[in-house]
Amino acid sequence: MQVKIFFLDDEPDLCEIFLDEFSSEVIQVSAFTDPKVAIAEVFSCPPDVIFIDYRLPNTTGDLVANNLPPHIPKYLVTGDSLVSAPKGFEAVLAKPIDMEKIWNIIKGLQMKKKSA
Amino acid sequence: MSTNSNKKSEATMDDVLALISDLKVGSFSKQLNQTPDPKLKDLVYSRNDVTKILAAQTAQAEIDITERKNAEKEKETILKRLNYALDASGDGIWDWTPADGQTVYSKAWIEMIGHEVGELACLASEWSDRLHPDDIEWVFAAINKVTQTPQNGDTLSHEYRFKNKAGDYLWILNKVKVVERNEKGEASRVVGTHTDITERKASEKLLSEIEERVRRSNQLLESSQAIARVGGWELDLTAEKLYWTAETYRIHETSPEEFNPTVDAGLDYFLPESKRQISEALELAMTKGVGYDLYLETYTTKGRKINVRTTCAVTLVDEKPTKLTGIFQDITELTRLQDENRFILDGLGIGLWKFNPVDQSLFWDQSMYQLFDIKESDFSGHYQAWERTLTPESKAKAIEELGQAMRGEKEFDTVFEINTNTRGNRFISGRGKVIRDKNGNPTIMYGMNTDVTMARIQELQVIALKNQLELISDNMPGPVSQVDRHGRYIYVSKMYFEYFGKTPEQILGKTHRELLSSNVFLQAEPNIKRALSGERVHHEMPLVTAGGKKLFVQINMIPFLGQDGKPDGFITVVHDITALKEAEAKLIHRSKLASLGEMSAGIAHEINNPLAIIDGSASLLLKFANDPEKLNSKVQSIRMAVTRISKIVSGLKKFSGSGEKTVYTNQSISGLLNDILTLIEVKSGRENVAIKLETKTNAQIFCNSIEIEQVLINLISNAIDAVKSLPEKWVNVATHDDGKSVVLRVTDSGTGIPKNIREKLFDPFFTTKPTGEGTGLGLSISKGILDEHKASISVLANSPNTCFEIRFNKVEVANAS
Repeated sequence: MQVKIFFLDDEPDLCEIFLDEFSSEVIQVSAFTDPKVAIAEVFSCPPDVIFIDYRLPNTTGDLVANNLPPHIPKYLVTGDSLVSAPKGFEAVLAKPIDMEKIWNIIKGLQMKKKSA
Repeated sequence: MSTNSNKKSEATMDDVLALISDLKVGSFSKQLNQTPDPKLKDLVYSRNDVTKILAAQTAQAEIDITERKNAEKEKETILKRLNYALDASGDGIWDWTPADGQTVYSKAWIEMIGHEVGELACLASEWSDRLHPDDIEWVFAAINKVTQTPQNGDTLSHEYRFKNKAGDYLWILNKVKVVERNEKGEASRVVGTHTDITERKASEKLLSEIEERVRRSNQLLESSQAIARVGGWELDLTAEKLYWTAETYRIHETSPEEFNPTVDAGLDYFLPESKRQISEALELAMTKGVGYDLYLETYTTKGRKINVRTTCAVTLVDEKPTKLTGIFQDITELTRLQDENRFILDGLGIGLWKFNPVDQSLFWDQSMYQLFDIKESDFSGHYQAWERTLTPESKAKAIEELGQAMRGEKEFDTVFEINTNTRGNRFISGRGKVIRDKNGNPTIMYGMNTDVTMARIQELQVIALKNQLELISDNMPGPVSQVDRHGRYIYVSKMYFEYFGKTPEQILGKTHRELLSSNVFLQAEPNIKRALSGERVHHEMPLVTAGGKKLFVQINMIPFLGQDGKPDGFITVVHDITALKEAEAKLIHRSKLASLGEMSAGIAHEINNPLAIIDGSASLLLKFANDPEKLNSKVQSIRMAVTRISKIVSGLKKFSGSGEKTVYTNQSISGLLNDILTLIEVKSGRENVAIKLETKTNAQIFCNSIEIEQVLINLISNAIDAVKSLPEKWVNVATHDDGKSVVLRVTDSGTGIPKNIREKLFDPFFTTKPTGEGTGLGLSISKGILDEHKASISVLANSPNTCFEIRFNKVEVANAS
């Protein structure tokens, strides 16, 4: 069963790394640099999890999250060490991103889907 | 003869000499029983004479004997009388025979010169040897004149000095009579008397001296009268005649030849009011015998108006006035001077007084009544009138000082306080001079008083002010000093010793050049000159105190102006700002840390992003080991991320510069802006504020680049903060060269800064940011840095948007290499 992952970050290089790291037959990765596009896509094709950067052009990750359906798990990714997990987020993931943590999250989702 | 015998003690010398000359020699010798034998032979009739008489007058012998006896009896009587006369006169008699110099001296003569009978020889030398050396010549000449020829008469009277036994000179009145002459006319017998006139001579001398004094006094009086313009007058009421002295004529500008003084004529010259007064006074004097002393105005015969003083004393006979006498004094000049003095004294508020210590009477002039606020009618004219005015605080001292002046211990020169009726307490300065009689007793005291209340109050205020100033100066944290317009120290506070190790005595009166070492003086001289020219000078400098303590001081030189409006020296206040400087350094550091902390979150984000790229790309390198295109893409991503990080770190290094290095170099303003752009963009990117850079000049400024970058970051960062929550967010950084200065303007999309805030913008700790977001030191520190660079910072008041402008001095082309 395929897991659908969204990644929102204004750094194109990080988006590409995310795609390169996690895209596979069982993991569908979509990366966005524009929050508006990402939000629209969430509603048209909801993901299993969404990783959102905190500092985004003209907005912040927590504001974006407020506009998303609450049932979709959300992780805040930030290079800003002072940012703590706002309400609605599962956790905060610090940059540089510990890929193992994301792999664990994805594995957890896969397990959840299998058991469902 | 009989008449002579009756006079006895009143016998004059002339009488005595007449008697002697009439006597037969033998009888005289017999009477002068002390006369020694040798003289007898001359005093006895010769044998031949007796024989002739006996031979010629034998028949008459009995008769002769009888007559002789009668004659001798008569002679005895005469001689007895003579002795009485001589005893009464106390005069000495001598009888001299010039031919052989034999001289007989009477007992009185011998005793007059202090000898006993029998001590002297019967020689003329006993007399001549006693003559005063100065008198010998003329006395002999005088005697010779009458003894050598009868033409000059037989008598002589003269006075000369004559030595007694004790060696003292007596004054002698010598009366000489030639009683016998020889055929040649020369004196063969001379008799005389000696009278001791020493006492009379002394009296005469004294009298002569007195007469001389009187003569001189009269001369002085006459000349004084002329000088003092004092004349005299006398009105004989019986003869109805008026007499004037010469000076009285002179005062009237006339002479006895021109003017015949009468009472009516004299009165006509007086001015009407004066005429009335003098007429009344004269009437009283002539009828009642009352004298007067008047000060009047009159005309001279030449029509000149003069002031005169005229007095009158009345001589009464049987209680009726018979004569008026008085003085007539021209006091025109005196009156003018008195008027002038009065005018001056009144103007100066000087009161004059006269105190008589004998009867304790006190005289005050008009100014004194004003000074003491007492009505003339209430003034008793007694010493106590003054004493009563004294305040209890002043009384004892003032009275004691008056007493000291009276006793001659010190001059009367004091200040005392008095109670007045309407003007409260006043301070009065009193000075006086004591006049004494020949025994040194005070007879009168003249003095003057002035009201010195204002001066006294000012003096007290000055003293209080001076004490306050000294208290303040001495308790200032640093030394305070004052120099005059020549740069000489005229005041130093106590702290000077602590700082410079010199006492006020070592400093006062000296100049900076004398006190400072030549090196220090050369550094200080420009500032001293500026301050002496009237410019306020502030500068900071390190200083090592006399005790070796290292300080950082701020020196403030505050010039002051003299009464002529010219700089009159300056006051120097030295502030120890060591602690302030240390605190400032800490604050600057803390402020930097705060700014750094504020930015660190954003910076971390910016660094962590490229780090995430590096980390992510690196972890994919193995995965794409066989995919060269992907591999290359990842390597490029890594390189770009590293570049981004190094730029940020480079900016941070500059920002965190310690600032202790004050290395000044020529820098292009656009270069400095480029250096900080990355850091600025971190912030502006985060806040979505558009940064626009417009550099229209490559001009260089001479600066410490680290410090100027701090200023620029602070200014732009503030602008970003100011607009980040506005709908329109932009910051425009523009530079241009206006020919003189390099101008940098940071304009943001805000609508300007209100005036009340604009005034405080550069004050330390002033901030408009929410609590915890700003230290309030950024602009203050920036201004401090720019001041040190001789650059200015201001807010443009007329700009539609908020605009800060910095003006740097442009580096001259020659130096801008």
